Amino acid sequence: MEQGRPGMLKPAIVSGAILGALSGLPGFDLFNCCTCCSLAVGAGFLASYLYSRESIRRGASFEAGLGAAVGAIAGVFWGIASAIVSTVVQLAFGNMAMEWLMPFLEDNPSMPPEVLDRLRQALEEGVSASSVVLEIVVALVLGTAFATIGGLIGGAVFKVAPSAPPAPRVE
Amino acid sequence: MDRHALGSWVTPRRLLWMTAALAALWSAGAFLIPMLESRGALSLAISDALRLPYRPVCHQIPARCLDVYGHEAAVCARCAGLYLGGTAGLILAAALHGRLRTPARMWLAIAVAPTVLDFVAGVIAGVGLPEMARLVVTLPAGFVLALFLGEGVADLPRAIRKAIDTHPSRTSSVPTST
Repeated sequence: MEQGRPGMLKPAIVSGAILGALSGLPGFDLFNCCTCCSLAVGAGFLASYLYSRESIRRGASFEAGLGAAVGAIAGVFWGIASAIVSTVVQLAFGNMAMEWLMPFLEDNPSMPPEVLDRLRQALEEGVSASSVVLEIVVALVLGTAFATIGGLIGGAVFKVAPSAPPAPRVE
Repeated sequence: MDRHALGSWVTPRRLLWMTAALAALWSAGAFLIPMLESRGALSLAISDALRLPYRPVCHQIPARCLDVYGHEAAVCARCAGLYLGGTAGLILAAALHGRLRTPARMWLAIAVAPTVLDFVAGVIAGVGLPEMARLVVTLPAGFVLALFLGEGVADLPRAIRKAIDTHPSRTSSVPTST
């Protein structure tokens, strides 16, 4: 029997914060640029999974469409966590991923010189207030959009059918 | 159009077709941009502006993008495969809405496994498939993910209506007889 829907905030914060923090770390950010924001999609997917588990525990239903809401909330937390961790890492260590990647890009003959110049310039500029604001906005928009998609996919994968009402007692 | 009329117009099938159309537009754009560039139809500024929306979601490294009439596609081969497979999956979900059963979870794992293997091999061993093979390998992942996405999208109108109907501000406004 249904005991009421579980709250969406807890699964959204857990999945959004964990995967968002991961995607802000050097190396893990490759998942975003090389596999279509898979960590943001994954945040929505994981939030749907956690919400589905909680729904089962409470005997509540979880329909595929509801995954959009769980995913969207997870995306907001993904964006915030990703932007915070990425900024802290850049302030502490500089843009390690770009510094590591630059020699490979410079050796690549198909890399357009204007793109290389833009990358060098961004590397020299480092972290500024405007770059942080831009990073937060981009992370929030991307995180919400892709985590909503992940939440919808997760909703379809982990949906929980409404439990049948108790059978009437036969005397 | 009032809210109720809009609500009844947005049926699951229509929403699926709209999503499929958006996906088709997004996927086609990745290949149309280099095609138009090859014909000299785009100035550098317009070409840059059209490629901009794809930048946050793809590295766009030229060597990893498919060659379209001598110009690189707006996204890498892996993204292109995901988009094309996804568009096909959404079109199928829209066309067969109500008749298509969502695949079992096992198919999701099977479809995504080659893409994951290719990515892991690239990161760990630095080896990877050629661009066209990479596109082909990611097609099933996009396709099966889109079938699941289609089910979620089709359920959205019902979920939104249910959320509105059960919202406390709506339920508390119902007059009660004393």
